Amino acid sequence: MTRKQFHLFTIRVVGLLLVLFSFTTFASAAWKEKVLYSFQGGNNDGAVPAGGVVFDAAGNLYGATAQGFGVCPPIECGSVFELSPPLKQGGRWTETVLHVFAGHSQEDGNTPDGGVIIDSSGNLYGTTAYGGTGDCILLGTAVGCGTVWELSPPRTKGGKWTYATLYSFPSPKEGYVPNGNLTLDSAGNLYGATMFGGNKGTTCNGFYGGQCGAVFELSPPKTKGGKWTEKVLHNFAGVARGQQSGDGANPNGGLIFDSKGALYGTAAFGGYQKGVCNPGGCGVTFELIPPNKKRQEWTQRILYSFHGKDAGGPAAGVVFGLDGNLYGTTFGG
Amino acid sequence: MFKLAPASGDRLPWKETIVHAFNIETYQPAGGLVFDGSGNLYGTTESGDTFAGTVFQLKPPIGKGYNWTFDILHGFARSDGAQPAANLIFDRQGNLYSTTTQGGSGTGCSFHGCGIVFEVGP
Repeated sequence: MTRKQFHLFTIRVVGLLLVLFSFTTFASAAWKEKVLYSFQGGNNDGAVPAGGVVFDAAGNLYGATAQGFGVCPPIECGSVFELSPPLKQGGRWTETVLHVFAGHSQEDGNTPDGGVIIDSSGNLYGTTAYGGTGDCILLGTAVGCGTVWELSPPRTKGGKWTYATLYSFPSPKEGYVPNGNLTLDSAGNLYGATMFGGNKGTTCNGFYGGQCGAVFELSPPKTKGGKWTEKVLHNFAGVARGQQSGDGANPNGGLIFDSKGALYGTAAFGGYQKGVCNPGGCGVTFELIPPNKKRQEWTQRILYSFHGKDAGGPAAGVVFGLDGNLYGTTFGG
Repeated sequence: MFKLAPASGDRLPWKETIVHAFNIETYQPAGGLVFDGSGNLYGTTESGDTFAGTVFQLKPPIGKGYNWTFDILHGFARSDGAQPAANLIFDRQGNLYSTTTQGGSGTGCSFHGCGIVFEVGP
């Protein structure tokens, strides 16, 4: 190699390194995805994890799969899973199945559509859209009206988790198809929404009885071993046929509290019913204000009815921004 | 994506502003939103022409008259997840975690994959 060739070679190498370096810098600026666990479905694993995950204090992840394990065909009843981080960096996350739902025929839940929430003691709480002991009938089949469940961690390492159905919605009147995440208050009460049922509304999905859903509160038993009690905080009436506006319909869970104890959420339908929003309405964002000295009951207010042209079909709740405003998403718009 | 600001004097309705309009590239934000400590928003979309769903970020306007800045942090390609429908959570290092309802290596489902748990990090 002549001196000139050597110089050219050096320049090329340096150039290549520079290109590689700049590419690496660019690549590291982008976000990277890692698949922590792929569900296998079939008879031995969950499928369709629909509701996201939560961490415990030790760094384990928890969630629910809406399907899997081949139990209660044809839809399958779903499961609750734990994913433990790898012991060594770059290793695999390990799945432990905490519960496989057995469905209405076994007086258990069916189809956890939302995620799970975790309290400070590591207990998990969630809903199933169907199942439980309730008397709901869908297309001629007894499916149950849905449940709220709890999984408590083992007292000793390596022990078993304890599963309990906290509440089976007994009939459509008390709520039907609870879905989305639950919300916990400091007193240990659970709050959530059912897409259907309640005692108001006639215009919502007839297969589910026509009622437009409810927001519920579940209070823990006052004595050990007692029952959890449900209180419906608001029955959604939806918007009557021929009316331009009305109440929300089909609330979808994921309620949030503000500092004064009021609850905020979205209902995918109802509200404004005109133009592209007719029939059924384009959905609302609502507030539920807790009782005070003057009022015994929770009071519901519609904060905003979507108009379709702007953005209709809010189906994922809202969050507070640092500016104190509410932010959310809609399917339409 | 919308913002609702309280009306003055506790009046109804609240004032709506469209923060971002999703387009054909990526749409159907099915999960909830999450803020980081700097006021950036993160969420997922289920569908799109380019990707089988995304993880997105929206940075707040840098000043009056500016818009929120939309960025796709990750576009799913089925083999690494598809159709995320849930909200995201952060770990202490600022990585995001959630699930996708389809995609991944699962073979026991009638659709592509059986869903996954994922991490997306800077």
